[in-house]
Amino acid sequence: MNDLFIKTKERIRSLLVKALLLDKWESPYQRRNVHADQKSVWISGRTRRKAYPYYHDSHMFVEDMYVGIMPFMIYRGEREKYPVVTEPAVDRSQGRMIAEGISGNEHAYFLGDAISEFVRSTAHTLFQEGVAYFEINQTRNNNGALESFEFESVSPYGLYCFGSHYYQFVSWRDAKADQTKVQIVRIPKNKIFKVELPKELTSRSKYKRLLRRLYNGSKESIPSFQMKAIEQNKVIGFDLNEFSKGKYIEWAILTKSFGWDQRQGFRGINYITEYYSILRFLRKKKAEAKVRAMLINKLNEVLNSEPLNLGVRLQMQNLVTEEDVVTQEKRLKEGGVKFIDIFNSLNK
Amino acid sequence: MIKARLKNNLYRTKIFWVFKSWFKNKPYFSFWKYAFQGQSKILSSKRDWGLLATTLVSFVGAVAYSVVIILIFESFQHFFPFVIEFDREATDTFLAAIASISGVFLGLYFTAISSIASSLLLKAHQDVKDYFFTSPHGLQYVKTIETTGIVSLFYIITKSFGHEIHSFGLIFLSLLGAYIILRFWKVGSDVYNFAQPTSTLPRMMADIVRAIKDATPPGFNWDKDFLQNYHSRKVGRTLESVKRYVDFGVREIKLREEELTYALNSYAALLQFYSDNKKKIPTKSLWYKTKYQYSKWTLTDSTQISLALQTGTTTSPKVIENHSWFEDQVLDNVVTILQYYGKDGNYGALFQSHDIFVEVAESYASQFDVDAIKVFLKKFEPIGSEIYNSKEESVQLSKEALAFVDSQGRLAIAVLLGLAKYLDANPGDKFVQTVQQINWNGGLRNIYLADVPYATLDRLESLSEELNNEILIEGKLVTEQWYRQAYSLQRYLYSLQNYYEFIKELHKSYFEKKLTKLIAERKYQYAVQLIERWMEFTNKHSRLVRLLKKHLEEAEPHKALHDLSWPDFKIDEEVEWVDGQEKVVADKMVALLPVLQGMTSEDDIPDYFGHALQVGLEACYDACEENNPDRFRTIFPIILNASIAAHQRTRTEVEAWAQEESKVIFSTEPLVNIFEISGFGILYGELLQNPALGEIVREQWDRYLNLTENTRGVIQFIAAVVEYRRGIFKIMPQATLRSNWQIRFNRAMSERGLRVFPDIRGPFDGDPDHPSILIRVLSNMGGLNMRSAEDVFIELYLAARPDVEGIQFRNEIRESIEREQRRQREDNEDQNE
Repeated sequence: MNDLFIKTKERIRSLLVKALLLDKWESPYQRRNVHADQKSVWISGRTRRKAYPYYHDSHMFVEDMYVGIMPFMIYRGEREKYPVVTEPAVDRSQGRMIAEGISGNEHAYFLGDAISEFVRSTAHTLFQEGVAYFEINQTRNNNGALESFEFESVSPYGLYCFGSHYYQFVSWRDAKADQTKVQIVRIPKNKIFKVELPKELTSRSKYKRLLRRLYNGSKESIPSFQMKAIEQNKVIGFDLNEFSKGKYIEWAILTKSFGWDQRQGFRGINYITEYYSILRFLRKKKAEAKVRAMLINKLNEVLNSEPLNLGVRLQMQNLVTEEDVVTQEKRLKEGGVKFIDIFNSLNK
Repeated sequence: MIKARLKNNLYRTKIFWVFKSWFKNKPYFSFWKYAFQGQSKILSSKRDWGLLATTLVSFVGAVAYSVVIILIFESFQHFFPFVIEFDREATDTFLAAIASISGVFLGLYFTAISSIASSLLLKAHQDVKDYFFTSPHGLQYVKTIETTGIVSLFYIITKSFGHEIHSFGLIFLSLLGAYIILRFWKVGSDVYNFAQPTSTLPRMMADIVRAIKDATPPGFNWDKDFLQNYHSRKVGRTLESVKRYVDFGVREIKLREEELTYALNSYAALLQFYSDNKKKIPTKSLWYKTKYQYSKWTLTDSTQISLALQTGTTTSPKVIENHSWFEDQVLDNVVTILQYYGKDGNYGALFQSHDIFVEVAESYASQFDVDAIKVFLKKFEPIGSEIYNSKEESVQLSKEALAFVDSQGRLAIAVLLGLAKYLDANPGDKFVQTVQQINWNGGLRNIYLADVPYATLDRLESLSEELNNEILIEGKLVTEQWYRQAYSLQRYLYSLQNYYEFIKELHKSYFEKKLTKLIAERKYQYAVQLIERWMEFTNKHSRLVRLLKKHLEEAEPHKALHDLSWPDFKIDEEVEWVDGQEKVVADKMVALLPVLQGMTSEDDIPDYFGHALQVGLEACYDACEENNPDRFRTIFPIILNASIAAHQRTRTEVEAWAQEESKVIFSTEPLVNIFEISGFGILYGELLQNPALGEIVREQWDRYLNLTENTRGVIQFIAAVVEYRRGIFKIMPQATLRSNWQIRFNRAMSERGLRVFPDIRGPFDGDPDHPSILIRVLSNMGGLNMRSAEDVFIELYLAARPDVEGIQFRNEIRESIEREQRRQREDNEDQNE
């Protein structure tokens, strides 16, 4: 009777799956190399985004904000310049496990490299989406001791938190786009950690609007009507300088707290004073320092709470702090300086 | 934010640009066009009233005079009462008479105009005709006649319908009638004098001044591009008309010199006014005439290139403003008149007219306006070519030409002096203080009213635009005061450097060029006059460097941004350069001495020969002091010959003097000077251990004496002169100059550790440390105080010649040397024992 019930249930389920096209687009390759502990499904969110971030000014903005956030350890001398201190000290194997876990790289040896990798990639997601979710996947031995762990990025689209669980809703459009199943995935809350941009910089909704505006506003460097007018040898009164300046001003207002320079130097535009551009540079450095400090704190928080409970705090030394930027801001305000000195002091 | 977003959204729509273009070109333009025309009409009415007002004084006087006459006649009714029947038709007659007067005088006025138009104006340019027919005095007169005629006709018609005219109306009409009669002479004579600058130029210049005022704040819509363009075109046309007017006057009416001078004065005043106001005109204003300049593709930014490639067109050309078009056009007009004087051989007028513009050039200097000054010098370059090339001139002409060359020199000095005066009056931190006081929130207008040198304007404009963008972004000004000051100061100092370099260049490009030309044309007198001015220029240049040093030191604390590139003023090098330049100029003057020697001098022409000789003597001394045998070798022979010639010239000049002693003293001064210089040649040769200096003296004197027929007689004469002068207990005329040389030599000894008075040698001080026995002897005597360089020359050169046997010379220095030699020998013998 029970078997019959189970069979019927399976049958109905199968029928529903077929009828509702729940597994129509599922590809076996999608679950390849997926950690055994992983619950979330990877979706790109491309059908849900209102602005495609890899485009023109929005792309440039995201790239400029995350690329310089951490030093590049591949360069000679960088590891020595930014040593990592653990509290308490860890042995080599534990250090390697942490490095592999936080970097997502199976062959990571150096904690400095791993922290840089984690902060840079998380910052990338953060600046691209305004929020970053990670699922903590772990492997434990028979004694329950932690053997390895990893942070798997989870798409923020369709992810909701109710009570003690996160629910990931994979719609038909998502399933079709990412070749997966239409489903609702339930993930325990302690398996997910969430990172958001510091409130002092912006709110999530405001940030989304910022990205959307940058994307929409930079689709055309010269409006199509003007291109057409030129082709037809017509003068419609379009002023490229006024157009470019208008865009520059709006972008500068939008990205005021991030201090984005719109690659002014590369583009050969000069709408603001050098003083103000250095001030914006300092703001950018401050925003980077804020995000970097927040991410490293968050990382320590995750390592030292459920489910990992590693009992170790990581600290990378000699990175630019907010206090360093404030010192330079004071120097700038007082005058009698070289801008290049201010620039070099924060571009260690 | 909303504003910026809205603006940005609008920029992305075609309709916005099309509408903006239409709006700007149609309703907006039309509105401001009519507003401007309205304002011009109001101004014109004011001007009409002004013209009327100026005539009212004489008119009121005439009326008052008439009233007195009428009162006298009316008083007869009281004193000699008798009654005449009043004719009621009199009013009608009066009105008819007034109407007739209007018609007659209108006719007379047009007859005057027609006669000029049919004779003179036939050959005139259309611009001249236009100005003739639109004379405001004439128009105002015609308007008055029109009004009078119409009012009188109106009264006649109303009266025919039985209307009683109010007495005030009749009084008013009688006044108008009187005005028409009295004013006719002035207006009529203006018609005949129309081509005279005194009659026409005030009006034309006023038009130009008004246009300049309108193109600068707070002029009527000074920042509207189409109005700027309008003013520019209008001024261009007016200047062209002025030129045609003056040309017409010179050609057809043979204008008097005073009239042309008036025109030149008007141009100078105009340039002066413009130089004061140019800094109020935006550098991108359409006031400035423009030209297109195509940029290189390799230097063009990517947006431009991409636009050009995608549309199959070329890159957009840049619009370049000509910031000195006004000066160019005005000076063209000026040069036309000056060249007219030159061709006419009227050098007096030429130099006086040239002089008018010297002051104008000075006012441009305070704006660091190199471009405008270059236009000045370029335009004035060909003026006076007649003087440079003329073959023979009368004495008067020659004096006038001399004055003109002098004026040319003063033009360059004015260019330097303008900057020196500016630096004197404005401390180095004045500019930053001015920048500090600018209200950047108030837009560009405040910059133009800030009174900063014209050359710094473009930096302040760009800074203002950047700060304005900053206010849009941040909602407030965030760029600190120190940056605004430092950034502006950088441009200021570069402009200053640029101007200074230009001044430095004038030595070669202006003075040397002109001098070379004058010497090539054998105009030595003019050449030396120019050198005199060049010397003054160099001297003032030296002072300018000191002023500049002080100015830069005062500006130094405000260079708060250290990674900006700052102009590199090497003041010490500049001082050295100017010192060197002073020598170059002095040598050029000395080089002219042989030709100046033969020139006769007059009281009303400077003594060029005397001046050059004195400069040469100083140059000789400097050459010895600086241990420069090459320079000494070049100039000493010239000075030796010139000194002997000067002695002969002075002897002739003082021949008529009564006192024999004075004759000898003054005529032998040049000789004593050259003896002293010769002595210093020997002395410095010893002091600096450079025998070449002494050798040059001996060599040149040997050559001179050997060429003289009676060498022994000449030496005897020299010995006699020296002895005679020694016996006179007086301060000689040029003794102070020679004392100065002596003091300098003593200082040179002292600097080398040798004792000179009052540092007297004690018994245990030891021998002076110097290889020359002469210097040791002098040091033991306390320097040159007891002996002179002349003594050194006489005793060590002249008395040592083989052909002086029997001639008595003093022997004090030689004896001292011998004593010193003997003492040394004895010391050496004692040491050997």
